[in-house]
Amino acid sequence: MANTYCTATNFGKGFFTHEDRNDFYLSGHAGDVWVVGNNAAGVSWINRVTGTGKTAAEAQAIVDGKIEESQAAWDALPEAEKAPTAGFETQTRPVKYTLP
Amino acid sequence: MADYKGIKGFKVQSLASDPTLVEGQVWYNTTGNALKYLELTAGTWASGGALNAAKQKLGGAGSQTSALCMAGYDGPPSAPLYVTANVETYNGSAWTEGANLLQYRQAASGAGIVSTAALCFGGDTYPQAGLTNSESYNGTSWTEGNNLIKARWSMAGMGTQTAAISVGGQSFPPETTEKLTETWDGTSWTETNDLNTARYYPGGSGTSVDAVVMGGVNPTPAATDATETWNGTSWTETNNLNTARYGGGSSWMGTSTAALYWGGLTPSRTANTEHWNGTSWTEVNNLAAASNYMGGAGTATEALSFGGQGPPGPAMVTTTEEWTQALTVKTVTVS
Repeated sequence: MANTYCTATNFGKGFFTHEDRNDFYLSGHAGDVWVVGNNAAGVSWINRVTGTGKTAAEAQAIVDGKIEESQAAWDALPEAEKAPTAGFETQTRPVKYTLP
Repeated sequence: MADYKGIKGFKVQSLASDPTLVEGQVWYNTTGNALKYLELTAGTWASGGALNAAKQKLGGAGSQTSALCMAGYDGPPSAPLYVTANVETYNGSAWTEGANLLQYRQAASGAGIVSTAALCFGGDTYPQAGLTNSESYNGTSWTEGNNLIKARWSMAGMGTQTAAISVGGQSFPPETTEKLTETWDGTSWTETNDLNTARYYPGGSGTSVDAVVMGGVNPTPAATDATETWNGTSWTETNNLNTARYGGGSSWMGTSTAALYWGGLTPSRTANTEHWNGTSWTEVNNLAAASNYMGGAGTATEALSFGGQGPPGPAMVTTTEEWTQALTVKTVTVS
């Protein structure tokens, strides 16, 4: 398996370093979900940031849940705010995607 | 057989210790008896200190270790009261509240190479009211200066507090995507030659006399990949971005031959980062988290990305990422 998954709160400086980025794949997603390269450095990073390990399905469910919340918020917007407006560009409706 | 001096007219330097010079520098280390050179490593993004408040459509200025986050928007969609005059300063580790701008605004532009000498200009307030306001910061307070000639927002802004350039943007009414270029001499703005491609929310890098702009929106709501360079007099079209987008961050303090453009909307939110070498764009390592409408600062080798919108929807974030591409000493080997 190329990647592993966790939830962790980005605490700012030092949360992930340049060395980390060279040592393993890392990408952040909604719900504080992180997709982490499944190697020794990646696993060590999860421990360092006190991450909570998740299965791929669990991580995907967290992200999907956050996207569904955003979709509901978007659906509740007045129609005028869904149409393009100069200066205050509207958001496109969030779309679900599959974690890497 | 001809030697290097015979071909090039000068010798490779012989030095007892490794110098700290520029990319491509070659020398012979007499202590280690080795031919060496300096090479830029592949850059990466690392996490930085978080902003004190989540916000988007930010003005940015300064370097990776002395940056300003200016104005923006910190509320729910289309809520006018949340356009802010707030300012934060970054010291390489943490963001600290600075003095507020005199005029609240979003999508303003900035110039300046340190957080204690910067310029903030243009922007808009809700609904669709473009601003001409131009303010100077001395590290303690803002002073109103002479206004931009045309009210607009979401321009590219580059240069210093006393020599800046404002490029493109959007104005209303009527809703117009601008080609306009104005330069600032420390006292007043002067209109000069237009961009070839009108755009708003582009990226940029350089100074008032030597710059590059990339991406942006044109035509609404499509992203453009167009890149243009500025020689102090006119804009020239050059090679395009690999990924068309707008609302990304850029190394405003870079040069026309070394720039970084990251994140943005394609219109999907992206973490994509590209490096410009004066001729072409190359895909490099991505942001850790995709974002858009963030603030940007720094150079192509030491850049800063802060705030903006992150996944999943229009949520604003406080996160900061620091791009570093270091020079490292390499030894020439024979195999």
